[in-house]
Amino acid sequence: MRFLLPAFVILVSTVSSAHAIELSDSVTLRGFGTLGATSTTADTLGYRSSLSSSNPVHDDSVDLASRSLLGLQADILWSQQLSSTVQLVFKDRPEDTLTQSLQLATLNYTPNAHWQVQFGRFAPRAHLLTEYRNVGFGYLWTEPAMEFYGPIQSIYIDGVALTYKHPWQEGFVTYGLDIGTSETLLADKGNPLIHAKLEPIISASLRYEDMSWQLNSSFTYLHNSSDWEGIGDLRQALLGVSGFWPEANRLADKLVSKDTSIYFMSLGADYTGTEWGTRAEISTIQSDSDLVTEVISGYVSVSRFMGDFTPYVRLAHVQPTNSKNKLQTTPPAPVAQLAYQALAVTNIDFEQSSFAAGVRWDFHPNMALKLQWERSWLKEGGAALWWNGAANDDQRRIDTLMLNLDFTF
Amino acid sequence: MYRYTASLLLSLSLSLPVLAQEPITVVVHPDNPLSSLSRADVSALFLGRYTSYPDGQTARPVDHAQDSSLRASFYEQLTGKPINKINAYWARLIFAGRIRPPKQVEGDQDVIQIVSNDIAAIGYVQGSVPTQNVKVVLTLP
Repeated sequence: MRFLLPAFVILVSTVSSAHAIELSDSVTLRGFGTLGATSTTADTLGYRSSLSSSNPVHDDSVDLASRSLLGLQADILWSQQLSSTVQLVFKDRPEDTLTQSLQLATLNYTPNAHWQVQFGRFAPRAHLLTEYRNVGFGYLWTEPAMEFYGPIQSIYIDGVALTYKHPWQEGFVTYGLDIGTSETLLADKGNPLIHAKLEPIISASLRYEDMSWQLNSSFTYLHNSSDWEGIGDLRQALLGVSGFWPEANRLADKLVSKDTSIYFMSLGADYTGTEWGTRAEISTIQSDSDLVTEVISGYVSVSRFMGDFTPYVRLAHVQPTNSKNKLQTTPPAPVAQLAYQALAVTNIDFEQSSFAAGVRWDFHPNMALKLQWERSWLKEGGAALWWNGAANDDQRRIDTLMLNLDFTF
Repeated sequence: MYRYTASLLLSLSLSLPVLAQEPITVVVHPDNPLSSLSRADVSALFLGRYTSYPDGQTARPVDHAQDSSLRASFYEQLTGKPINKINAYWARLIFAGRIRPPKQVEGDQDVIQIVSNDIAAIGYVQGSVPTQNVKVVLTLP
């Protein structure tokens, strides 16, 4: 601990004097980052920010790795209508490949003030934060609400993004259409890392912005084109015992990931006044696969602007909307373990609430310190957003304390 | 430990913005056909919400340095919001990769030089404008 404060002061001094680098009139380098410390009372479970995270935080340490990251971005202006953006984000991942680190790689064609077409890799516009989820300096809290953003992995889209914008009333309306493909990772203790290939993703969004309000609505369709790791083996094992237990065929039919569909619908509103701010989102996830947890989730956050300090509170909730699968017959003893394992895979649920209170201190134009305390209430059988939560959920109440230094340069 | 804390507080206090007292003048090139702009028009251009003047011509905003006290005053008077909200807002736009921020320069002279040489440029300076090379389109009290 004795080295932490000097290291912190050196980091603050370095970042506070750093600026975007203009290599020429047309090339600019810039970046962002988060140094995030996390402490939690979770023991058998582990705190994590999304289902893609495989570096959980337990109650035996203060963690600095799981939420810290560094992003580097190059903006290239080819002409007044043509530009490119390349962004790399380095953070702890189950697979630290260039494919996963590359968050943006676009060729942007902007013929006029109304239209923009992007080709390449870009961020989806499905929710208010999905475009800049890695940029902690851009939002209020230490971490977006787990109940809302936990089930949504930090994905990119490889494809085409079409944007049309026009003035309306006191503000601007933006229509967005994103079409492409992606791959996201799903991790949990004791299970193989799942590479979910999404081909295609189609997302349509409608957004209104004025001096104080930002309203967002979106609909996203994802087609899962891959067999998830481990699921095929489980299905084959069930089919192999169907002679002993006929219901194994019915259960095996539910263990299908390939050629299934997922639908996201989302509404969001953000108000930033002169003294108060509030933000709320509500979203549903629907699917024709029993392997995807169907949920409705939402949060509301209220903040008060007090100079460089912004104290805030946030309430969040997620609950499943599909009914749980049940066995119609009792499996014979030799196949019981297999049967209940397969049943558990189709009944992975997210059901929890949280209350968070914190403060953001903008002590420099490019840097903010944030402190947040969060209490989570977990329902029995609904802890799957947490590491090891699908297998063990004996904790009903967990406190998590987070401290962030968020910066841009 | 106290030495580190003291040096941190000193470096932070040096970076705090000083509120400007004089009016802020928004300027464009003299050949720009617009004679005035509303606060909402200027706000849309400097917040990256729109990239054209009301007559449809392309606009290229020129901003002051990130830690400039004039920049803090300009955005606070323009939007009514504290500069830290504007900085967070721009971080969201820049790193979403869809919009380029205004070019940032050091001081009024750089702004006047760029605006006087680019018919699409728009900038802001402290107080009255001591030159005919730019045209005033809005004054923020």
